[in-house]
Amino acid sequence: MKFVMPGDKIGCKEEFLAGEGIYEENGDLFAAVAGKVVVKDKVISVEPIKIIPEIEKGDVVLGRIIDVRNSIALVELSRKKGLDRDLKNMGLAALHISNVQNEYLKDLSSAVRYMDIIKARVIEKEGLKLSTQEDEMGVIKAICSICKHEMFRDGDVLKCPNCGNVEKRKLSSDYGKGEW
Amino acid sequence: MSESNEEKKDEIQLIFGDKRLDGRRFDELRNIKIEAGILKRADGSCYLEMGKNIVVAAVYGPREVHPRHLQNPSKAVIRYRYNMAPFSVEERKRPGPDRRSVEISKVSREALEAVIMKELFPRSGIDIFVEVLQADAGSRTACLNAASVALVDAGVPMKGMITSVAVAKADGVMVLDPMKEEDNYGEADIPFAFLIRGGKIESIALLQMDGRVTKDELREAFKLAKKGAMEIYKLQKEAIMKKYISESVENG
Amino acid sequence: MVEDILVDIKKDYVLSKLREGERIDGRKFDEFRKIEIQTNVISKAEGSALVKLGNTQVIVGIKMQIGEPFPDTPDKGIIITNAELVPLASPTFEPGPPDEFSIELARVVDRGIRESEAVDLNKLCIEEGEKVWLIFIDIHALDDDGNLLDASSLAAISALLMTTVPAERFEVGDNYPLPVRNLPVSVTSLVIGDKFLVDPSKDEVSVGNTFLTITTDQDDNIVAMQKSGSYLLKEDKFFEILDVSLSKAREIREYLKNI
Repeated sequence: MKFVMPGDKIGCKEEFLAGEGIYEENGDLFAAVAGKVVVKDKVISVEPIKIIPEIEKGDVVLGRIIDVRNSIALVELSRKKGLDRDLKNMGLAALHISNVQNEYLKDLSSAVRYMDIIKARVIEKEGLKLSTQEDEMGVIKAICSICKHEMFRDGDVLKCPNCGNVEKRKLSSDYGKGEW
Repeated sequence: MSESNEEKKDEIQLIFGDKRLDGRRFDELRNIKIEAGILKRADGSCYLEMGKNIVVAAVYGPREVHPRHLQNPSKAVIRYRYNMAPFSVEERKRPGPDRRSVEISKVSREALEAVIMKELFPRSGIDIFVEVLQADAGSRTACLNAASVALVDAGVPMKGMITSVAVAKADGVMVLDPMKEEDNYGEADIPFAFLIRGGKIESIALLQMDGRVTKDELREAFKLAKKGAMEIYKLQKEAIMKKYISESVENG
Repeated sequence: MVEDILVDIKKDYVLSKLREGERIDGRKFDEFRKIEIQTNVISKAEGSALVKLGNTQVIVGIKMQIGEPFPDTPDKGIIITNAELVPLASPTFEPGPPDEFSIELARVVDRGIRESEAVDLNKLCIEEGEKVWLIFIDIHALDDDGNLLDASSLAAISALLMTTVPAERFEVGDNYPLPVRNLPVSVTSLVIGDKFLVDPSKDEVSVGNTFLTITTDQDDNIVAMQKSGSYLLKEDKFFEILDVSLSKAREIREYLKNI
């Protein structure tokens, strides 16, 4: 095993293509992270100790709804399932009304609302498009839109224990379980 | 240098023949102990002892920057906080940043900013927090060495390693990695940090100085600092390798 | 911010000029802007100076008080240096407590004066262990057109040279001139790639806050240094800058001697 530190020279442009954890300067290739050197099909990369999470198609993510428009909800992502680490700023993800549930949805605000925390699957990396169609996807925490108290699940709807308000959501099967 | 009074006094003999007060040669580092990845919550961390200095560094990020107006659309914002614990010095230090820590935080951050590949993480932030639990001379250099290891532990891409060490002038002699007495009673203190790349010292990332030295003495200081930095670099590398191997074993 | 956009435009211009080997204001790479020093501009202060470095203007006032010495130097006076980057001096300065820039500025100026032992602190003891003179060096930026640091250093040493110890006001004897025995001079260079420009103007700084300040005393000793900004500096380049800083400081010191 060849272990390298950031700044170790590991080859030049003529020999390899620069992969993950590698940077090029004046034709030379250097390690940008510490780890094991891996060469595969002329691509040289460094396998680091810890990975800075990237979002890929198929990932399950956790995020907060920060805006609900006519046909789209904007989501600030905060975690990727399987990695106990904050995400770098990825820009906002988008949940389109057609991807909320399997059935037809007329009004987006009857499925997600401002400040809801949702669990979703990334269906397209470009533009960070999300879907909550699966059972375990959807809202896992919400606050009452009238009094801002936490809502509890009551069958298929959410109920506010403070003011009695009842609201509809596309609920995740994980709602209120404290994990995701 | 202590904040209260940076005046020099000549009451203490610091050099005895070819040895120093603590028995070291002029070009000898203090004992250094480095351990990577010692904190659970942080994305990267490091424990470091350098002589009597005891410091802990933590790295968080890349992550969202709050408040949002502090974001930079083209690169990550780096924050560095050098903080001394109240019990870290002889006389209790008032908690919180004083002018000295603000300045140290600034120049240390700038040294790391020069090597972190921050353009890979636009609008994100990378936070580096270093706590001085026990301070002797050269705590800023100990902190930078720890921060550098913590950044590697966090997997933050960097052009190379930052390694830091000071040189002092004591009784007219240039000495590597001064301890408290040499710092207090010496004639000059010169903290350095270098970028190490391709296994050698490539450039200067941090340079400060106060005291009184000639140009020739400055040349000698560079020579000593570079020698010391290469030795520290080896220890930083060992600590990171050790972490990597233990992690690999854990994950099969 | 409007200023951000202007800075971006300016940056390209500075860099293209630099490639042609020129500075935007026609100066040589090692040339300071015109220096003007007016002393004793504030009669309420024990000493004061207004320094103009091109369009950059800084005023330093010295106030003195009697206070307790530090326990480890019972027979020495005390210097306390502060800088205020007041909002009037630049659209980017904000009111409020000192930020890292003003703290760094004050501390680098302070180091030059302290480490060159410019002021003979032994002559500022009134009663050992009880009473010594405190010297407050207050730096007040008026117009930041670049290189506030060198302007502040110059203003500080000029003001100290003019300072009278106000012994009569405090009823501890006759007034006497502050004993100044060295003339530290700071020279700040803007480091851009493998080039460096001394006394950078605000427009030149649009390329980045990448400075090296070297303060030297009248015997060519180096008494303070500060690399400021995030950039990497080669050792040989450092020694080149050192040589230029030493010779520039000598020129400025001659000028100082005549005030």
